[in-house]
Amino acid sequence: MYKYNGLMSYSYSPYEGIPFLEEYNNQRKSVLKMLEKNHKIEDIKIKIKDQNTIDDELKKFEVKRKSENLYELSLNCLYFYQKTGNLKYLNCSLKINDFLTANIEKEKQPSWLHRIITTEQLLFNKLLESQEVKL
Amino acid sequence: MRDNKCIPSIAILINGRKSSEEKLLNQMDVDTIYLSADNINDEKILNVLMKRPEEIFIYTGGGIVKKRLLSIKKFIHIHPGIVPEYRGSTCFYYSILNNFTIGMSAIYLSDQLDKGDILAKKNYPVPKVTDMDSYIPKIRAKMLKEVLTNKLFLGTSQDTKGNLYYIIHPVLKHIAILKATSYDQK
Repeated sequence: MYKYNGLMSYSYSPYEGIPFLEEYNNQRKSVLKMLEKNHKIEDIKIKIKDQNTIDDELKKFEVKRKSENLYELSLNCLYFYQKTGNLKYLNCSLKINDFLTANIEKEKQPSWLHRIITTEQLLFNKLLESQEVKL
Repeated sequence: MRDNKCIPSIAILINGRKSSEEKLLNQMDVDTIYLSADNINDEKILNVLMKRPEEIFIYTGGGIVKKRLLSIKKFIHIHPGIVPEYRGSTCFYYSILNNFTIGMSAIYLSDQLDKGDILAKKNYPVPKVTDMDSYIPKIRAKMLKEVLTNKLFLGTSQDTKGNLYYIIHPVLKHIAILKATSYDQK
């Protein structure tokens, strides 16, 4: 079973059926619970960037695993996935979020991460529904 | 390629495993050259290709082929996606999720990823399999056979715009496979 340690290689990842998606879902839910338990979650202001800028930053992250602000990139990716439906944005955000949730005990931006994971969960559930996949 | 058969005249295997490939190639009466090289652009490969009379080779494997090699021979590559809409090695998972299709494009390699001239494009039924990564080469082989049998060697340039999809996240991959294996194709 896959473990979300943020260091995984995504090439040729094995297929493990519905239990894999359940594990992913549980991992994200436990992150939200932990954030709510240990931090005061505040509203955040998101700066939506130009789509071409995000495309460049997405490429930089996917190719070099580099980003100046992973939180901002992840939220922008989720925004452009919602806006365009292009799965490349959700794909990138999922990878960033694996990394961001790997060391939750030392989280320095809990409100940002909470917003990211809440949005990701919403979009994940919508995607399951649109693809007619039930957990 | 031999007349009316989809059998090449020569196979050049880079870092290949002799024992597993030699027997099959011998059965098909294909000449073989084994090379040990660091990458596809290695000087050894260039030297061998320059001496070969064949104009077109079939390419499978990883790595961007550089201009120097591309200037001496043409390389057919079967890409598992309809270009220019779907570029990238795991783009077929995205096309399953987007419109429940698996497309193949026969292209000539260029020095830019999946942007070479197009020989043919075709959609295939989405297989009801969980090991999609292992099944895709079978569809690619079908496409290659069509290209070779029908001698579809005339390339047309493709729009350089399009979508490059990076390696798919396992969550999206699982959703695509679950959809593929549960969908009733009529």
